[in-house]
Amino acid sequence: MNSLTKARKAQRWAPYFFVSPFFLIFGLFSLFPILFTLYISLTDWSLNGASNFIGFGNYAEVLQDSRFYDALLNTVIFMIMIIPPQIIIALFISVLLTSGKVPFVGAFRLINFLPYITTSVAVGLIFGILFDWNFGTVNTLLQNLGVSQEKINWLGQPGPARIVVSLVTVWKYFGYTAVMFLVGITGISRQLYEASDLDGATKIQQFRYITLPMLRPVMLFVVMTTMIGCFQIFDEPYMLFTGMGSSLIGGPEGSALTGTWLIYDNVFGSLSRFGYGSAIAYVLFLFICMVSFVTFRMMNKGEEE
Amino acid sequence: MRSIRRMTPGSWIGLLVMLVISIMAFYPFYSMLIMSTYQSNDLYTSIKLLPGNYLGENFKTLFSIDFLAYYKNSIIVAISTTVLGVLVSAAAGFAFGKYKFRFKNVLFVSVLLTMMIPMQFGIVAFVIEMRWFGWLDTLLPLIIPPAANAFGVFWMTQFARSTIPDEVMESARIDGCGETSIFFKIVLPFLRPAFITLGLLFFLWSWNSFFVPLIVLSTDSLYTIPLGIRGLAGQFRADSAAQILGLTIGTIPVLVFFAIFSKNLIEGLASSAVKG
Repeated sequence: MNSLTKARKAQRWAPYFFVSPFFLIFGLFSLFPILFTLYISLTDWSLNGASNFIGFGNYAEVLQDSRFYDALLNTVIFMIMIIPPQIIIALFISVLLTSGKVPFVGAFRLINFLPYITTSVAVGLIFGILFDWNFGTVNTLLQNLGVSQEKINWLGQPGPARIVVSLVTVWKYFGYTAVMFLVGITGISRQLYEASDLDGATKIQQFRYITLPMLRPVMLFVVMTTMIGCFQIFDEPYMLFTGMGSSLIGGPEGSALTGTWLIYDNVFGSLSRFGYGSAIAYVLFLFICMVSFVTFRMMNKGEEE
Repeated sequence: MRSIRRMTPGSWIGLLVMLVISIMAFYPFYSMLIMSTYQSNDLYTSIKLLPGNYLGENFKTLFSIDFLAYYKNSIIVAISTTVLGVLVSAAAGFAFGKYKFRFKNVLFVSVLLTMMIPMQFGIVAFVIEMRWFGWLDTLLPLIIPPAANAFGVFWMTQFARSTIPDEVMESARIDGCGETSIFFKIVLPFLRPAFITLGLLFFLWSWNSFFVPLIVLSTDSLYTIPLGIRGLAGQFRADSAAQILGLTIGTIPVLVFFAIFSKNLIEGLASSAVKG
């Protein structure tokens, strides 16, 4: 009897014991920094300097910083330029690969997943060479095909630079997104399709009325994570624009400056302004929360109709 | 898989489209392999489809820097994070999946929410914290913090819930097995398929990580591969071809793992993730 109560007691404490490593590491290295950043944002802390509490001074400065608005605008532009193509391509692939009509499914899946496993430093470097102004493969190809007479200065002008960054990002993540959709489609009951077959539904109707609605949770997940990802874009453009000799912080005219890059530049670049960088992080955090919330509401609203 | 002979016109179009997309996915990857065999200056002269003859020279350049040290650092960091991360996730996932306890739902929802918060938001304080700990310019910030991964916990919870039978746990308890030994002797073997998938992802994330190493490491001999290769540009000249060779060699371990386990990975993901 005694040993039994002891065992039951152990059983009661065990779950807390098992979750503690996660929450310990998480609390110490993720939660604490996020909260502590809020405090730092209210000081004028800089490298080796003493920190003085200055209230909302940094925030006032952030709201007058043109580079902050660049980063905000770029994040929104990237959301628009990246999310739709990535979702369309990924959906297309996943529907095709689950249709049972295309052979070599395994090989295609692996090849389309390759970009995701490639180091972003390599991705930045290679796309930098492919999109080189004078001798890059892309310009040569466009000229040979007669698409454009002039060589495009991909990495030197704001518009093209954003196109390159979006292309790189879509290229890197569409295979991963496709796997998410594959998972979702595989989870849809075959009976739904069989029943609609009997009712004479076309493939397109099945996609519109079965696949898409059933994929809603996955879609929500993909859209939200990609949106947050747009704020984090850093590695590839950092390599594209500061990799080979040049040092265009934020790309041409700040066209590829994202939230992460702006924080990086203020804190770890030339300036070492911890307080100011923290304030940027928090304003951006609020912005992302707002955008996520609105998107979440919009996408869930569709379900009620 | 259906045989090619029995394919309908529709399938041929599908196959064709799939081929085009795959070529676009593969081309930059392929050019990485090819570019590593040319001299840097030649990279900018014409479209390269076949290997060049400069591979040996690029190897020499590469090994004139501390490339092997970068490789060693990457291996230490990636393997430690993977082992630690998988264990931490499995323990938490087991608790969430198989026990009833107070605050369980609150804790689990907080895990899900943290999946949505990127670490970049706390990076300033993180670096200051690392300075307090004396961890700046060591490999520890690359190993310990990433081991607590919300996605990993979520994923292991789904898996534990559906694969570990209550009866096995109960009979182990009746035989006098403690909760910790249940975890190590019974739960871990059940979670093995999940280990492979999650382990691959942890390894990949760690191996390719660039932002945090860029911030916390300043001594050249501690650099991981992505950071070391980037440093190569500034060191004496911007030798892109040698850099690319380094990245190619750096990609090989991940590529091999994924080629071997790609079925596990994708089926693993299919078995539980996202469905939530």
